[in-house]
Amino acid sequence: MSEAEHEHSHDDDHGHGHHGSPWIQHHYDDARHQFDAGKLGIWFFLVQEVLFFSGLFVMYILYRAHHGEIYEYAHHYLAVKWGAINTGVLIASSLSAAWAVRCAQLNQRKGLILCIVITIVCAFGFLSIKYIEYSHKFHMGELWGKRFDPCATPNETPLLTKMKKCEGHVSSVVWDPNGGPDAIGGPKAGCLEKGDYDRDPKTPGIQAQCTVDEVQYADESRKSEKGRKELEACEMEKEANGEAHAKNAPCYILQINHNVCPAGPGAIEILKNESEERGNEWGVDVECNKAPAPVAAADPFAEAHEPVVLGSKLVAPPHVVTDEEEVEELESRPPPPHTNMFFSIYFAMTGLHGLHVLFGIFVFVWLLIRSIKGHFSEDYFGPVDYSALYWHLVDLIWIFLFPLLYLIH
Amino acid sequence: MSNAVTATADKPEPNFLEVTRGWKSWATTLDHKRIGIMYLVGILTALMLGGFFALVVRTELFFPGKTIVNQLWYNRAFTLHGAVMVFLVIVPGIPAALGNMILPIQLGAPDVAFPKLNLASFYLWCVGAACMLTSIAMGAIDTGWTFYTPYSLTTTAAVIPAVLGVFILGFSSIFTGLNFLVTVHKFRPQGMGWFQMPLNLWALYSTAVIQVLATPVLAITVLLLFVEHFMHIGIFDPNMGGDPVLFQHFFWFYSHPAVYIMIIPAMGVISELVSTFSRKHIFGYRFIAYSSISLALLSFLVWGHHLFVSGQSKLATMVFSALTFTVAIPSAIKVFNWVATLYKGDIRLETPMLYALSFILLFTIGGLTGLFLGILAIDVHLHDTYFVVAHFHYVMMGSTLVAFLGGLHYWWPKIIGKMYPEKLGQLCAIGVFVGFNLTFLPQFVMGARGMPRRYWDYDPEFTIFHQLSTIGAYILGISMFTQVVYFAISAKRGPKAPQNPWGATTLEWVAPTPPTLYNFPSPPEIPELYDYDDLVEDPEHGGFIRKPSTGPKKGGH
Amino acid sequence: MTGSGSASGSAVAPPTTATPPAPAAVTPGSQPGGAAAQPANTDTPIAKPDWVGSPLMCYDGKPHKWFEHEACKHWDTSGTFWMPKGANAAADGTDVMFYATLGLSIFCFFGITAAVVYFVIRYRHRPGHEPEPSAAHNDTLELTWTILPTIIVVFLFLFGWRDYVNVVTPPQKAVEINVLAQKWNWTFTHQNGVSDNVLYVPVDTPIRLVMTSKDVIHSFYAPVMRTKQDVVPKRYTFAWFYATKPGTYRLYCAEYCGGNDVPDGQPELGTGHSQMKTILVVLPKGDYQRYLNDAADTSSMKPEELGARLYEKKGCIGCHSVDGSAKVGPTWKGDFGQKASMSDGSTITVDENYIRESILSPQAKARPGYPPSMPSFEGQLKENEIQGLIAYIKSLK
Repeated sequence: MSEAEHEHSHDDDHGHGHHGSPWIQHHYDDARHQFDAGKLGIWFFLVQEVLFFSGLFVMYILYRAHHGEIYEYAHHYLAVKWGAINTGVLIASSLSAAWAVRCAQLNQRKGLILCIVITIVCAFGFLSIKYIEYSHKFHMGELWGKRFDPCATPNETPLLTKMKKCEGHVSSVVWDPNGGPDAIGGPKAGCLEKGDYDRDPKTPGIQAQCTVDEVQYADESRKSEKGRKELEACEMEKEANGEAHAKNAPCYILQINHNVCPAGPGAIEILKNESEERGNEWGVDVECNKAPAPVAAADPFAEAHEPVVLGSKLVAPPHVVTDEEEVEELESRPPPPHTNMFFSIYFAMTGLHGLHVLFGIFVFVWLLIRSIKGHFSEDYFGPVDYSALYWHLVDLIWIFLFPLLYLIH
Repeated sequence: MSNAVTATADKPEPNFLEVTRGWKSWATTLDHKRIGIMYLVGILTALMLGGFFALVVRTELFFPGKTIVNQLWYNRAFTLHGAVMVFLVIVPGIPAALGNMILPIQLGAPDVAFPKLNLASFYLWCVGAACMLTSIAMGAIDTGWTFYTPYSLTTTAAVIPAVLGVFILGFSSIFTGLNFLVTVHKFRPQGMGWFQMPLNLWALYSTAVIQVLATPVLAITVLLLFVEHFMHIGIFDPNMGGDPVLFQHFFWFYSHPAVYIMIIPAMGVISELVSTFSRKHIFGYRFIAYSSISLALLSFLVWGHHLFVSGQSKLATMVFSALTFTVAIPSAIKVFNWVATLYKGDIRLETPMLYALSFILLFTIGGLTGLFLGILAIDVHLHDTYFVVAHFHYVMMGSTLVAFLGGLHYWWPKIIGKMYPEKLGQLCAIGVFVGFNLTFLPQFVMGARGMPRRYWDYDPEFTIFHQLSTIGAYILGISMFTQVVYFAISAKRGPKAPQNPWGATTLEWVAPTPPTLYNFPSPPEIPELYDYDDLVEDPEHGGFIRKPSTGPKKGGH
Repeated sequence: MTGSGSASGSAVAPPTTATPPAPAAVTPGSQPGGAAAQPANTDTPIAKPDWVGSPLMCYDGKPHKWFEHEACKHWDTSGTFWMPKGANAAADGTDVMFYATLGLSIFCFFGITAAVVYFVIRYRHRPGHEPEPSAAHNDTLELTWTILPTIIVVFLFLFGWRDYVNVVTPPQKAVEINVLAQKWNWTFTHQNGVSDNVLYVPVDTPIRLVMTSKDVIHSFYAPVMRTKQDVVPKRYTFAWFYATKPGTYRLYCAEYCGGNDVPDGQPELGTGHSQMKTILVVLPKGDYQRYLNDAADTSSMKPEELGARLYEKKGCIGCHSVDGSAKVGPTWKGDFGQKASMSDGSTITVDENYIRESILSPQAKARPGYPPSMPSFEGQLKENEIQGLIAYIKSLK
């Protein structure tokens, strides 16, 4: 279409009683054509956004399927109250955004400005509440992956730290399939007669079936810089609480897994030898004659059965579950392994959503400026419409996030 | 000059290259053709960079043990070769460079739907490329272009800008795709229904669908990787309870469709070239069009075949293997249809056609060797060997890059208005074909014999194959570099191109050469697609001209 | 049981699993190493006939101990032009499928090429030549070449799936070997606790590998066994095979796992993915048992023998030479008793205490010019093993 014809078609628009908005770009036939193209474009963009988030949802589903227990456990530590308020705030903002489109279509400039302002205010409200939630989590150390550290504030104990103060670290202890001396990838001599190794990938498996391994497991974590720091922090805390009997005691319970490796003389022997080779650092004073525990939990941090106390340096109180309230009981439970992944997912999903809200604020501020300048009219309200669509999507994603993260059971 | 132009104006409008001048007019241009040319310059630069790294890799492998670089730099070289070629060259190559130049003109549209977004995509590409260069300056990455976790979590900070670069390039690609989708939907003129579109547009449309639907998953994947490096969120880190294989699923959910982002537009270009240079109607238009769309859709369902030996369940493996084979069918249809198009034609072996014929043969090899990798039992043996390397180079390079070069030679006269040296072009096309086969055929044998990929050092029994391969790579490199040089010279001093040098029937050949700012001075008539009867050679200006007697139907949007 | 590279072994009793004999759609190929292709019914390795039946006899003709495998790295590279010899009873189908697909591919490729070349010559543009009218589409023809490939790929899928199930499904009773992969070596631990960085397996026995990784993803790849499986940290993956032919074969890491930084001024050094290869020795059953017994028995060893063995088994060999040549770390030859200057400027005599400290906390006193890449072996060596290593270093004058 030639230059001249385009000019002409604009004149036509005037002739037909349109306002002939100057915002119609040259390569479009008319306002309708531009609007339709923009609308299709924004829909494709939203599809793209959905797929962008879909990665996170898939991640959520996979971890939920494989590690449902961490969701069970950790969702209690999200503030449902704030989440619910935020849902309300976002729905209100979505309503005002939709209303803004209507105002633009009806040439109601004041109404348009008001609606956009309400939307922006709600968006800020949402982010403020998110800030409150986040800062609380920072304070409590309920953070993602490596930062998940419920020992950060030991004296404020409503959360993960109440009973087993530092066991959350299990998630960040480096997994060492060696298990230590001579055990590279393989079973221990003392356990060989057992023959059948537990290869369930959910448990540490081969290398965790022998007591000795667990000793080394503790030792391993102490070797690393981070492990050492964590343990020290633990110990200080223990000391403060009057629980520690000596310095440098590892901050968790060592257990013999009776089911996998029977605590007979053989295993004890290994332990003792191992201990001697280490200069009796562990002070093994084995009482392995206790009855075998009922549950085979090869995870040294699991709470399934009573630990065998290995000498005076390794004392930690066995937990006795009483008939207290459910929440109380929950808080007394140690976090299941990889609880940190729940918070990783929580922060990844809400964080990315928060960034979208932030981006939405910029968009609506831009709309506000343009609407104050009076750019929008019944002929040209595309940007308001598109932004509102985007905002609805952001709202919709939150509507999914809220129950998935806060309200699960 | 075209009769369309002469009909409306005494004095021809200035073409888009001349309408404004100065670097600022280029940097702020919204004209799709100029953006396409800027992409082209960027992509050819990146191509030379990636080619340089390829030659480093091949030279190093000339002898077992160290030849020129140590293991660490070898690892970096192949990583950079892969990352630059995939993310900076082949993915944007045909859609962003050739597509930008051609798609609106082929549609008879004045521009793409969102010109500002188009320019933004280009600048995103630049920023992404700059991130990659930053990564190189920071010591370069050695993760392989696939960034597999947990290895990529253990390497240096240079991964951070590289991953950020991929993220940004992803959005560049998404916006280009989005733009093309809307353009094809909303700017088709009256008289051009879906099945009157040139096959190139079908291909670009299918590509755009994948770009919009698959790339966001890459974006979120690399974003998580990026965050992992900064904040250690542990999603992919087994030490924190994360799942490293999940990364592979996410990555290939994009990167397998990305292969189709590369190959489908190449198929579109080839469809145009084969028809034009055979002077025959393309054989089985609908089958080719449908096969483009079905390839685009099937591409989403096959990513798991990259994980046959990663430890995914046997059921998943079976399903992905079955789905993978479905991809073979539309690919086979296209090859047969192109060959059938040659039948009873009048075949002119000009440079673009040489590339098109190369494409058919190389793509056939690439496709057939894909069968080996789809067959589960054989894949277990061939996975992560040179066989795979050779296979995907036949598809990505032997097919996509060859089609890109063919398309570039084909449309170069239209966009730049100058001809390239034909004889030299033919020579280079043959050089590319010979060099390419010499490089990669030996790699099939090496792979089947068990040579793992990404090895800096290798067993002496493979030496002869590696040496053949390296020699081939140099022939290829020289042929490619020569083309870049003669294109540069042609842009300056090439002879003026006729309006329709190849006698093609699509709309871009109706537009002036080079086109005007909004492509057509007046609404173009929609010619009969792939009907060569009315086009006769024009002894006066060279090229072809439409016989004046015919009256094509009236169009315009 | 036949492998397809060269047909069934004469020395080896056929395994009991029922697998159809390979139809041997095989072109005997030549070896790039220069050896001639093998006659069809021998599985002997090429080049040295005296090696037959004694995979642990090295090319130098002397019998070597189990742990002296370094001298034995003569891999059996025999096979056809396309594939190495097949030695896995479970993977015979793989070879059949490979050659069948190869035949199909060559047929299709040459068919298409012939058509293209014929059309190009027949219908090339030349003066006076005009395109002739022909149909722009032909649904029957197009449906044919849609349905025909569909049928073919359905069969390819089904056969490939069937053979894949064989390759990845171990029988109930298999000898299990634990595999630990780490940058950049393998550790194979047998059921009696013997661990080694070379994989010794008995012939005619199903072997199931239980694999995990210490750091990043690796991949177990034994080309003669046609099997490959990624080895993923923090989880177990499995592979199995049924070796049919005694011999010494290649074993690779197939998943890229990086490479290390290099010492200053010695850029040619460095280890990484491409050095993460070892050998797979298939032994007659009796020899395998002897290997297990011998390797388990360390009590009768002299300390320096034990040290020499640990030098290989624990991977010291990766970075330290014993002949004075340069590697990533200092050579052990003549190291004991010399005065060495340290990174911090001090000078220290290399004595028992220094060696012990260097093993347990390597970075405590490091020598200049070497990268700080040595891991601590604290907790991985017993006291007598440390003593053995010290004795071994002492013995290297």
